Amino acid sequence: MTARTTQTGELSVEPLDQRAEYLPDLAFHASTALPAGRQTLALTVGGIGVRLSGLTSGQRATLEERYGIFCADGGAAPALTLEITNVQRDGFLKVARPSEYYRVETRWEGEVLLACSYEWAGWLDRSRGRGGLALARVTEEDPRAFDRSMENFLRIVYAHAVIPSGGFLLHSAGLVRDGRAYLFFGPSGSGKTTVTTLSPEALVLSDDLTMILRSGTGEYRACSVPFRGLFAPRPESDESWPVAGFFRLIQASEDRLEPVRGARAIGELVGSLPFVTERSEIAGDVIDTIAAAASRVPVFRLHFRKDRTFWRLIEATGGQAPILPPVDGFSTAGGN
Amino acid sequence: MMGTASGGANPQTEAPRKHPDSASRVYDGEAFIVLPQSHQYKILNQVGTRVWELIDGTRTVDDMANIIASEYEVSIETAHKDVSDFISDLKENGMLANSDNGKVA
Repeated sequence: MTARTTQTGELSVEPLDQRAEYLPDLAFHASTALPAGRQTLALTVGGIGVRLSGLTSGQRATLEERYGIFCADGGAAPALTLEITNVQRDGFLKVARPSEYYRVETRWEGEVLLACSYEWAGWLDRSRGRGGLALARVTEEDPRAFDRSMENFLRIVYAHAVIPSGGFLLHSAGLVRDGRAYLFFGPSGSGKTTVTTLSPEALVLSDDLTMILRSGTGEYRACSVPFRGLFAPRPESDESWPVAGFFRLIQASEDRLEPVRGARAIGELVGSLPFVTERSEIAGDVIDTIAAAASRVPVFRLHFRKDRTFWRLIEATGGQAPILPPVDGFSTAGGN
Repeated sequence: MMGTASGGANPQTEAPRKHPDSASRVYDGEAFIVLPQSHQYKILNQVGTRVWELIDGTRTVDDMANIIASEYEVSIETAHKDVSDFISDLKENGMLANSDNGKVA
């Protein structure tokens, strides 16, 4: 395919076949350097600032409306700057089958992460604090396509951005009771939305994706992220709360709380991390990050019925399940 | 002892090597292994973890079986079968590279 800049400043891309799947490389992104507009927006999630540049006025207004309290000038200094561009393409990935779950492809070009889906393609160079997002034509015409594209790329960006500080994104329902956060995690269909619905007294951080942060003292805290799909309500708070426990949801005929430790606890949590175990160099750091969290915060398998009696089991731990010994004695056995 | 799998390695000449893309840590005596390319992970029990630690591209299956037999007080025959099956299992799950040329097994 070829890419060129037109006299009007728009990027014109001439693919060999617009109907074919196309996973852009860095050269493609380098050729799409023209921003969609001149507006910027500061986004802060879990204390991590991301500056979006190259937005049109309309795109900025849409994002401000969608991300609300997470858009705050004067928030954290940006750790990353992402430039938004429009490209004259119909799309990137193609829907392979009607029932396909929203598909994102990622790969690495040196230290740069490349990601794309149907309507967008992005790159992220974490070491340089820069990235970009190229939006297909449909995002100019369909606000939902724009929301979907921004949100899915930002999920990837934040999943990677939080790792160096010892935190992580977890596919989980985050519920706060009595000032402590309970993280219920597992694959789709495991019951995250169910436990949320069954807990009307709790402050809901999310019913799908929660950010875990590690403070300077090694305490683990949970906070909302503004990424919630198209229909879930917008989080009302960006506060963080101390994590009482991680609970792997397993639907069962009776309630049972099963402590999980060591490699098994790590395995349960790693299985619910989005995006960040896709590269061996990073996967080692991610395992360490999760191991450190699992050494400070108890991990359980929660076998539960679809009613709220599971809270009794959790309350029986006093919300203060025993803290396991700190991480030590890791042996690095992977790699060459 | 470590789970079984069909097929076996050549115990006298094959010196298995970990897949270069694998990442692993040992915690409480159990290894946790991630293979990013295929989004797989595997948790090994203590004996499996010991074998994983012994895999270094120089030890043959025979070498490892002898070590396991001495450390876990099992017969040489049992250790040979278990280690051989276990290596086959790791290979089938893409956790090993070919010891001869570095290509993925």
